[in-house]
Amino acid sequence: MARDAPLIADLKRNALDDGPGIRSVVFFKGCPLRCVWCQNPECLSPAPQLQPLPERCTGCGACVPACPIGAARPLASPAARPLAAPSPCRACGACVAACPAAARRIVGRAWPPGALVEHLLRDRPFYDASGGGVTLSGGEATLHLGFAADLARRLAAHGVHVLLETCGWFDGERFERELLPHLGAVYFDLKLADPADHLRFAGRDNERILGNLARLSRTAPERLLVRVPLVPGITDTNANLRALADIVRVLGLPRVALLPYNPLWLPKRRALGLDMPYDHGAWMSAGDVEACAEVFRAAGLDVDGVRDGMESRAEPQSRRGGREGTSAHSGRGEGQGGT
Amino acid sequence: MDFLDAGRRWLRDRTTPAVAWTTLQAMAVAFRTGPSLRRHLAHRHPVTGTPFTFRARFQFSTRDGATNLHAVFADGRMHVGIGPLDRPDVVARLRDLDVMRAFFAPGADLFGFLLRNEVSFEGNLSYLAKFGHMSTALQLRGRQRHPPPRAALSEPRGRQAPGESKGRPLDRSTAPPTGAPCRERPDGEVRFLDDPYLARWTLDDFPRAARLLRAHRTVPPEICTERPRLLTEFLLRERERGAAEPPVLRQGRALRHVLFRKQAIVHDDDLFLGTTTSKRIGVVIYPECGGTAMWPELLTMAARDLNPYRISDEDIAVLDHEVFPFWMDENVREWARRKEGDPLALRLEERFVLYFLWKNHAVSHTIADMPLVLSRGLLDLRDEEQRREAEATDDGARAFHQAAQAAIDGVLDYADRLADRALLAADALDPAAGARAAELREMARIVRKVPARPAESLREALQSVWLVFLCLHQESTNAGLSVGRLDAWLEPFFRRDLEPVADPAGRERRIHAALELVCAFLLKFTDHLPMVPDIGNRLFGGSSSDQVITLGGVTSDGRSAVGDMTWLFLKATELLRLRDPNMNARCAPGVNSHAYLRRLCEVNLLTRATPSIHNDEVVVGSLVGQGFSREHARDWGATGCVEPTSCGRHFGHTNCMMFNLVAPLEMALRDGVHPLIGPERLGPATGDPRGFGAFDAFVAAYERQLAWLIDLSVEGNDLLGRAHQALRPTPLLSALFDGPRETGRDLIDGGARYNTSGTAMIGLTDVIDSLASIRTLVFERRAVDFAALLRALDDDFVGHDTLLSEIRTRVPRFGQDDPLPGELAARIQRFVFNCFQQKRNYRGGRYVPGYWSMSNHVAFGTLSGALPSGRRRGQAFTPGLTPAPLCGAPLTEQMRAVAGLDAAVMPNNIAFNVKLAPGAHDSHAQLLQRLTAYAEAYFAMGGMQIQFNVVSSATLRDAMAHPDRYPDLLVRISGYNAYFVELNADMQRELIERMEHSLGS
Repeated sequence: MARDAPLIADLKRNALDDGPGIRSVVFFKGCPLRCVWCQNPECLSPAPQLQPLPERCTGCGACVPACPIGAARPLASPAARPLAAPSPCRACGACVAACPAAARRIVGRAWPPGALVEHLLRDRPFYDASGGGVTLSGGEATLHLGFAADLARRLAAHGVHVLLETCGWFDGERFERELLPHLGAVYFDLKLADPADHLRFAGRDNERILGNLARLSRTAPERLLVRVPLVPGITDTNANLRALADIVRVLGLPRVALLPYNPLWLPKRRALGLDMPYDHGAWMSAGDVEACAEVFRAAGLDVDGVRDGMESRAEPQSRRGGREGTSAHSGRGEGQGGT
Repeated sequence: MDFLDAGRRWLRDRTTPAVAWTTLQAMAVAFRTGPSLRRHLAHRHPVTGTPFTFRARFQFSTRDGATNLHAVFADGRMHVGIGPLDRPDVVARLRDLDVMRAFFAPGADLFGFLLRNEVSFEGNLSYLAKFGHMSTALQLRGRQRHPPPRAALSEPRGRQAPGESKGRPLDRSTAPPTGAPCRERPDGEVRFLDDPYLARWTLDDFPRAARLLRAHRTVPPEICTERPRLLTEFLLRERERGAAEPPVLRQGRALRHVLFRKQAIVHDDDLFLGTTTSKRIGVVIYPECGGTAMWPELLTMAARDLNPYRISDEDIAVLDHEVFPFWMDENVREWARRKEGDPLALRLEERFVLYFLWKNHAVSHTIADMPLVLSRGLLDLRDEEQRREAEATDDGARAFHQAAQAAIDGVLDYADRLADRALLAADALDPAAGARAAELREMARIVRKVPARPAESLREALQSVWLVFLCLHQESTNAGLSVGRLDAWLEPFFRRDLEPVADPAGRERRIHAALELVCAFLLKFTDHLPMVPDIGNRLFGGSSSDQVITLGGVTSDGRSAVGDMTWLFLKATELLRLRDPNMNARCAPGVNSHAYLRRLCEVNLLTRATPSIHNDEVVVGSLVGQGFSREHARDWGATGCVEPTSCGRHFGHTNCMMFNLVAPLEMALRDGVHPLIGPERLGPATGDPRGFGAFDAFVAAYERQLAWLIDLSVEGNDLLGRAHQALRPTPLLSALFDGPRETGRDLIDGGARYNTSGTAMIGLTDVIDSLASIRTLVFERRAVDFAALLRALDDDFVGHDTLLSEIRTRVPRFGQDDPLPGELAARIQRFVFNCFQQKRNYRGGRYVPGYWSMSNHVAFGTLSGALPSGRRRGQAFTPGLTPAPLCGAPLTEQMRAVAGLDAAVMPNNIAFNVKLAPGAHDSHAQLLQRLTAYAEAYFAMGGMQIQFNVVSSATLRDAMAHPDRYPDLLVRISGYNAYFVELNADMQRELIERMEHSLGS
């Protein structure tokens, strides 16, 4: 897979929680990290992938004869765990075409940049009226720096505000040269301060990430927002949050945003057949979130995005029926995604 | 066993006619022997002494014609027999003997029979209504006739809502969100309001308005018989003296008779004089239209589940003995039926599922030239009519000008008597209540002046408009008669009031007074309700009179028409949250300020459902496309729901019909047979779709069925239009219009400068999604053939889960970024437009289609089968012109699809419903910013109209279960507003199931 011809996992329009205003979000496929709580596990691998949507399966069995290697099974029965790992599935899409209920989809589609821009410009009137724009997310958009930079440049040339949600693990010099000039904002996720913990829970240590953060805090502080995903038992410990607050404060950044934990990714990851090293299934209480916010405030930082309770954070009920692709991503907190 | 069953069945069928005969015969005996019942068959009019004998011939037949019974009323007797009749007045066609048995069983549910296509009626429905009343009277004999009325609210019991979950609703607050008001300034548009948002005031600052509002919410509506009684009395006497005047003159004199005798009433807290009815909240009866539909309910309406009406024993007697007997042969529908020998166009209308012709009930949907009244006064207009009468060269014109004078005389006399009444009330007051006495004297002074002479202050102008408007309702049905561009028209009066006042405290007082006047004025419009019979409640309902007030937009020379009065009306709308007057706002991007659009959205957010917002440029463009001069097009106001009318010069019965676009689809699927009306073929034979080799063949079949139904509906409308010409010209409305004064012709005879007939096309989304489904699954993917699809539809998809899920997931739908539904929409809309535009109505004007549905998307849906779109049997259609709940596309994508439609082919406007769930966590400012952005972007893409319901499904579910907690929850249906708890359960479910878009997190 060429670095600069990435696959797009999803395009989400009318996003209200991925930056200012009404936005469209581009979910890139592929991520350098392996966070155990990843919100968009279908974006981890850069390759095309079969994503089962078990809640839609009617158990009709049309997929079984369609599969050339005999790997497809109906998803409806609890016994049928879709894909054993390692999966023999080659994501050929034969079962997807055969499924009458659209209970499977191939995640990952190559978009020519021109077509992608045309698609993203469809909601241009909404960006203009709301102060919104396009958000690059994932996965990790910077894994495909050339493509991302080209996309951002084209959008910026149309006057569209482009925002990047990133895990921070990228080539800082090239980033500054190619992508940063076209970005209106960078949402930079900071997870764990301890390098060993970072390695353990996110698959790599955080040296490069912290280096990039330091670099951006010098070159583009006004466009930079640090976001901290609150993951119970992992990132939300007092020690970690205090350490993160110190990092941010020392860099001279005035504020952070908190992303309270959202457990809606769990069934998605299960259906993909990935391992489940972490499976915390509860929302955080308003009190828990507030306690985390206090840690940052104590360090003299402003805190954005603290909300007063999580129980209303249900899956939007609007998605009755729906089409392929529109309901695959959990609503908020996409920034926790591949980052 | 089988043999035994067959034997029982044979016996039952053999005895059914005898059982039915016995039921009818028992009724005949009761009416012969019971003196209190006998008078139902023969009596005298208590005032005029005119004798009345019920003469009617009823026939009850099975559809195969094999079994017939009859009941004949003559000579004050009821005679029952077996066999068919010559020239029956009413024929009830019963599906078979089973239905006949059920029909004659006690407590039979007529609506259920209609819904299941088991019974249909032909003939004079007023006779049927009288028959219904008599059998109710018989059943209730000796019992308490009507239990004491309950509170005005419907169904105090909670109901099961779809998908109901336990626990609190997501949207926590039942009160609208509050917070920091926006502070953007409407540059150049506001002159006297330092804070145009008037954020310093709440309802507590207007105790009178609060009291009037409480009355609106708590006083139960009551049937008023004043108008029908006076009208009937007048026409009976005319008939007895053998008068044969031209219809317009007869109606002018009739209106004068009514207005000369109309009770002058002053209610507590009134700031404006004049009442639509003699009750606090009166239900108006128009017996010349569909009024007799209340006949079967006279004894039971006070106890009915949904929207009960009070009625006094005296009023029951008035309607039963004085009013309805006169009109049972003389109403609009009967006139039309007689004229054409009960034509198919009208017979099919009675099946409820094809089209609904509003002319059976009203024309009304228009706007009078109120600026004419305000600037010249009625005396001056009367003088002109007198002069023109003298100059007239033909009898028709002379009659019209005489009629106009008579009508105006009626208004002037009523105004004068109101002044007398107010002075009497002032004199009768305790001296301690000095302020109210002074207020009453001032009110008396004002009605002595207006509407006779020009108004000179805001208060006088408001009084003038109200008094004239209520008088128009003595002539035209209270269904969609609209008020017009009140903000623009009243602005000069407000300025005149404010200009002489220089000191800030004085200005503050004047502005406060002006807002109180506007609130009290708006509340006057809630003093009446339209008459809705129970079947109306069950099929639609919750609608009020739909009196639209239109705000904003541009002046006839294209400048912003937004002013101080616009902002005052918006504040009053925010404070009162009334369903009616139906507030509509024009927004001209680039001409009206951004602050104005934002404020419209804010009021919508705070009230949840009003105003409806229109893209002025697009609406004006579509009117210009229909031949309106740009200047006249710019002077438009909405009528009824959303329909544009050039104020005071355009008689456009903008809701002449509500047309079911799905019916021809059901017929095309079955070679012309409609499942509810069959088994005989109804429309043209367009072929069995199982033999169609290409998608286009099916679309062509659909279009042929559609064209056939359009022809029929237009024929029905024109026929009823001629009935209105014969029975119901409107000389008062005509006198306040551009055109009739000059031409000497009443509006109904084509006297207006612009003449159109507007239609409401319902279910377009369901048709598009169905066609897309057929094209995708039958002809492209070949996943199913027509035979299997038809079986699935007949089975309502039960046992066809795979097909249903394929439809739900594989078919592109209207509202998605897919070329197919867009092309289908364009093709069908163009076809509909061309069909209608080829026709000229009975006034010589064009037919203009629009896409909104009032509540008929629910009614038509209730009566329709499963559709290829995946919609199940009996489910509501999609309201107005809105993507279906199954569409699933994000709001931006849906808006783009709706905005992409061609406004030129939908000049009667659209209703695009968007249901937004407010986030529990977002501030008022954030929600408002988003709402405004949606509206702004939609308009920038060329969107025509939009209406937001800012309420979550969870809240609606809670309101369905606990109506007592949500007495004033305002929702927008399709074009009009209603209080949620007054809707029938089907309508409530439709609102709940509308796709909910999140407005925040």
